[in-house]
Amino acid sequence: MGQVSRRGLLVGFATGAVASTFGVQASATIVRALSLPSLVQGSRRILVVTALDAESHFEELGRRRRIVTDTRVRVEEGLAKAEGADRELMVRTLGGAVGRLGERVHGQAQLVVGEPCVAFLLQGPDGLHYVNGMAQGHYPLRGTDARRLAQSPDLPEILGFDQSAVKALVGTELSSAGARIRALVAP
Amino acid sequence: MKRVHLLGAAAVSLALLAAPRAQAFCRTTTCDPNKPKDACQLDAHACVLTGKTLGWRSSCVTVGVQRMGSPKNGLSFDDVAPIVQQAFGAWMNADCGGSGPSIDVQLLGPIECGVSEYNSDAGNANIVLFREDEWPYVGAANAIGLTTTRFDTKTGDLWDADIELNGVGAQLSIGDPITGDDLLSVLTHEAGHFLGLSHSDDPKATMRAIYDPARDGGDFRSLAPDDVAGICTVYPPGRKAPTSSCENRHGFSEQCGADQPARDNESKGCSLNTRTAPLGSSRGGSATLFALLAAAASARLARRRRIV
Repeated sequence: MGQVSRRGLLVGFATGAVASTFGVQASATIVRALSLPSLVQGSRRILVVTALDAESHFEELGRRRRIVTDTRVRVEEGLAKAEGADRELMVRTLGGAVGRLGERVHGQAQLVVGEPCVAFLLQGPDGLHYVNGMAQGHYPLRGTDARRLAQSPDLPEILGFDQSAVKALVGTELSSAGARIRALVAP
Repeated sequence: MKRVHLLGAAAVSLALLAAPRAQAFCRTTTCDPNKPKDACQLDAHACVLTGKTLGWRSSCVTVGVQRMGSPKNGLSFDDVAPIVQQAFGAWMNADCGGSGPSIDVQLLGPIECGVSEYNSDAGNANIVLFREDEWPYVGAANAIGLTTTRFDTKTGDLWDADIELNGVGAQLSIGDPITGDDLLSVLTHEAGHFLGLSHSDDPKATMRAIYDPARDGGDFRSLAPDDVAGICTVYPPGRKAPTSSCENRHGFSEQCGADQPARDNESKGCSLNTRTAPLGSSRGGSATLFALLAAAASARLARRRRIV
């Protein structure tokens, strides 16, 4: 008990010292917000897709082997920049599981098999597609008729949320979201 | 001591039972929503409810800072190490009903390896590192920090965790006033992931996903009650950890796997206590304070003590 009390005192002392040194409010986070215009302009394709299946494997990335998940998606509808898109695409996200080794990268889009979503996609030098802005570029379609944009489940901490595409899009009907997106695409 | 831990655990348990919806924290689990065979169940806030919850099974885990720091941001190892110590210290100093979480995070001296990796046949290190030559993640150019956790899909045991900071695109700063992205705030959030927490839907939590400083204000350098409830649930006082070893899986090495000498027996990597000296435990304020004052000296000492 005596040990605990001493530790408590030390903790209190140190906390106070730290607080007095670093007590100013913080204002930073992990991912910069992508505004809707920048998300639209930075994306190669903006589609409604449904994940069909997924497979994880090791890939050389950043000079090291990492686990990635390739998800085969069916294109349901093109919202913008859809010209030339195949009926099916492969979308790569970071993390997954190979054997007993699981790898989780927080803030990734989670393309749930069977769940339709709006995806803002980039095309990498490898020809594969990637979700632009991680989970900021992924909006599951939910609601009774699966036509309303929802927040991606593993949304990263967003700096500047009020200006973000997430704020602009989450909760909107697919039809109105599509209209807003198309209006931002340069003719 | 045991009685204190038991009382603490009981108090935390009662608090959790009394207000089950007051806690919005979400634990990371082995369940992968991308995989149909996992058949993950999610709650209304998209928190995965199924699968094994992730956590460090030992009562001790280490984290090291890559020795280069961030030259582009003007931050040396000696600048960064105390910030890492403070970020993890926020979690270790959580009050779980009279005592802290049942895990100790030890901050090591400088780590040579500058990439995020997990070696299944070589030593490992949990690293905080800045990527300044390239940010190799397509679609994640706007990320300031990324935490990668590696775990046993069967048990949920965490095997390795790295925090990568975007030295290419972010302007990270320390101290006050905050002039860019506050490193301490970023690391405090990422330390929560490192320890097994996912995002929270509590608007005051450090682990929340949505934040606007202009609108919310708030302090991401310290924990909200929801964060405390989360860490105390993952590591409740009185937890009987199967081991107290701080050793990394497959042994500790400050070198990347490719740079380690060929392993000629089962234990590649070296015993932790012969290779590095901890800067001080981040549990308990005394260690935190010590580390803040002595980080530079300890780092130099650790470097001298390395046996390569």
